Amino acid sequence: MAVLTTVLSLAAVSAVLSVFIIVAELFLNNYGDCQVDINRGERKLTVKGGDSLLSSLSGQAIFLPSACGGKATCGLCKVRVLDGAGPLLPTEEPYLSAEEISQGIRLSCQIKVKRDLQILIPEELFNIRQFMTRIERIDRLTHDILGLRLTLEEPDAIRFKAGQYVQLYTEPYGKVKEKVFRAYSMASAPSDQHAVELIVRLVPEGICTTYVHQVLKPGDTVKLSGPYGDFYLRGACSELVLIAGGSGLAPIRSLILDILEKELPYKMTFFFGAVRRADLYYVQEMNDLAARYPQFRFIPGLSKPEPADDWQGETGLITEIVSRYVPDSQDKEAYLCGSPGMINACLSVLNQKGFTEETIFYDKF
Amino acid sequence: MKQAPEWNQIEDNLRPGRLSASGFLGDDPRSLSEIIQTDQIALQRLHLTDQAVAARLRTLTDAAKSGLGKPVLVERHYEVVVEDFMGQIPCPFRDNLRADKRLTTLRNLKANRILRWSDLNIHLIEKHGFYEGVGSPFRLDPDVVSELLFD
Repeated sequence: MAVLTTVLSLAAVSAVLSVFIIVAELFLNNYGDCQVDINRGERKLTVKGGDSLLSSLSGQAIFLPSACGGKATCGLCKVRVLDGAGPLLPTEEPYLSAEEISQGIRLSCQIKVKRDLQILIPEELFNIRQFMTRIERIDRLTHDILGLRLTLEEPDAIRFKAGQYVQLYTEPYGKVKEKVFRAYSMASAPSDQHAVELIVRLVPEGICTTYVHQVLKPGDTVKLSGPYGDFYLRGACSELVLIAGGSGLAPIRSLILDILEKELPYKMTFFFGAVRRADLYYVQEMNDLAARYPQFRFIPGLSKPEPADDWQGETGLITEIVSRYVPDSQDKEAYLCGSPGMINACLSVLNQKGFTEETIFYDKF
Repeated sequence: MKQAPEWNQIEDNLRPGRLSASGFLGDDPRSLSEIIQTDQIALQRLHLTDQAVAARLRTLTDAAKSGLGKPVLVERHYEVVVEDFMGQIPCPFRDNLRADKRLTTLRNLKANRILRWSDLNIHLIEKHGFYEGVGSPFRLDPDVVSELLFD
């Protein structure tokens, strides 16, 4: 009897404590509605407190760039906070210079909306749209790279600069219960306004790339937002050096198609590096363009061709091949896209040739 | 086995879909602290430390980085390929570390066996003694590491 009494007493105490915790959470974690003032009154939003500023804004159709889906690993979602954010977090510090910190620049994915905020964002971000698309086609380009063509349904057209990217949103799948989004450069020409082409390389255990490679199929709907990014043609030169590896071909292809379509007066050399022939793709398209347009030169290179490749083209690391063909930086700009290792190695070579920060462009995430 | 509450929060980060598609625990039924403790016992038996393992992994990765995805012969009997991908992945142990998305694949030519690891693996081992759960795609079993990398 005493045991039963003790058990019942403990159960009652646990129940009371549980109710207390639930009620406390409702009050303590309930920040209510918060006002977000953007650009000194240009836009005023009412959002529910408790979410990150990044997701709160996207919930109001204002899309800040992010390559990492709000995990504080890309540093792209910067905003200038005039008032209302909490203290700077250690997670933000690696992505902010001292000057930026002094100006109130923050990572919006790390700001939890708890009270009214005043922020400044670039005007062009108001032009970013969310798109509902449908997968028209999926092409197996290499063993770990897929090409996707997505038809825009709502809205049905996109305006972008060649070189820019979109964010692709996943749905829950398998054991992955959360939605994420990641950045992918557009591989299609801007003139192809009613569709977007993407090139997606599978990252082992990557949440988004696994979704693209293992879940998506033709006919599926996919949400995108964009366009984002400042990787686009500056063109204060007569000659362009274009370098890509892996899925980095995407924005370079968009640039090439756009420049040729518009008949812009640039001489272009495109270096596409891979390890073996099976890692190359779009080779026929690029060879066709080179045959048709004398101002465009295509130089694929393999660092370790296999005997069965029967490779007659350039061999060596992409840096060695670039170094052979590019004598100097005279009246040239360089556009790079690929893995961080490739980009760092190419930057070193291009710097030796006289290229500077003002004449080399690449996506920095 | 009971573990400190903060470890429960870290376990959440290790589950599928939080930071990687399959997560870091595989189908291991044990708690995080049990997984770590068991692997530490194995390391002691093998006369290894987390720091020694991490240093060895890092040395092999660094030796092949310049290959830019091309296989590189290291120490005469390792063929090592280092591939990197855009972006970074945060450490699930909430220490603000962000690891480059770099994958090292090593073939031990004597044993004809393959081992692969990420830069995040190196950090998880060095700073947290975590070799991932049984069944996790990136688990580095201490016995296998000892056999293939310290031969």
